[in-house]
Amino acid sequence: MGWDSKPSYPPGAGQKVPVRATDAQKAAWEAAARKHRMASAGAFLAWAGDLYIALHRAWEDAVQEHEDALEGPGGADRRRREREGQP
Amino acid sequence: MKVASYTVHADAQQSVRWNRAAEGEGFTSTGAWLAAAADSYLKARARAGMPIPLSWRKGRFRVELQGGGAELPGFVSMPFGAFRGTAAGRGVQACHRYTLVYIPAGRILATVRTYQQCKALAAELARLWVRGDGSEPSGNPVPVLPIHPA
Repeated sequence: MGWDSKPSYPPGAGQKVPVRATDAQKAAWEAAARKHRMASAGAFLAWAGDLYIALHRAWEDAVQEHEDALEGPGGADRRRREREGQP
Repeated sequence: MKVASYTVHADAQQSVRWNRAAEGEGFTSTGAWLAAAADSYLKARARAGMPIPLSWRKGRFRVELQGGGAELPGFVSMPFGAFRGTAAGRGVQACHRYTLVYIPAGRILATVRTYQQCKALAAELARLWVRGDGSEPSGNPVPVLPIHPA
């Protein structure tokens, strides 16, 4: 690939994750990296992965808050136990 | 199918987070999960804000010009029409003025230099039209118009 990861990764980013891409994915990721002013498609993938997790956690928190609002504090846990058939 | 390979660098915490997420969502590898995460971000972004490509044909439509209403020939992609000319009327060939019209009201939306710019502006306004459930685009045009200077 021949890209320099230094400007986009934090120090300590020593682990490596191989990712395979089709031509369409390669084009889309490289365009997205340029658009976000990132040095490489790899940096964009790392950023998108972290963003995905952050958004998922925010969604879970919002669901939890909503369930607590409906049933009071602990309501979400109670409903989860009921769903899983635990006392 | 041709396949490209990337190596994504991660710190220890990222690695743990990504591995856990990949396992939790049933991916066979962390790389496959990262690819899916990037694709889903791009898809969500496309749904949220990309211009909608419109299909154009030749046609005639009514426009409220400065001197009164008139039916002009041009190009149509409902609810938009484009004609060569300005609010004063039709222009001659190579006059470098094209006007975008909201056809249901016959209202002129903007005058730009090229037909291509008309189409691009309509594609962006189509998002507002779709979001407004078919009502006249009424979003703030400021972020859109400077991209297409007349």
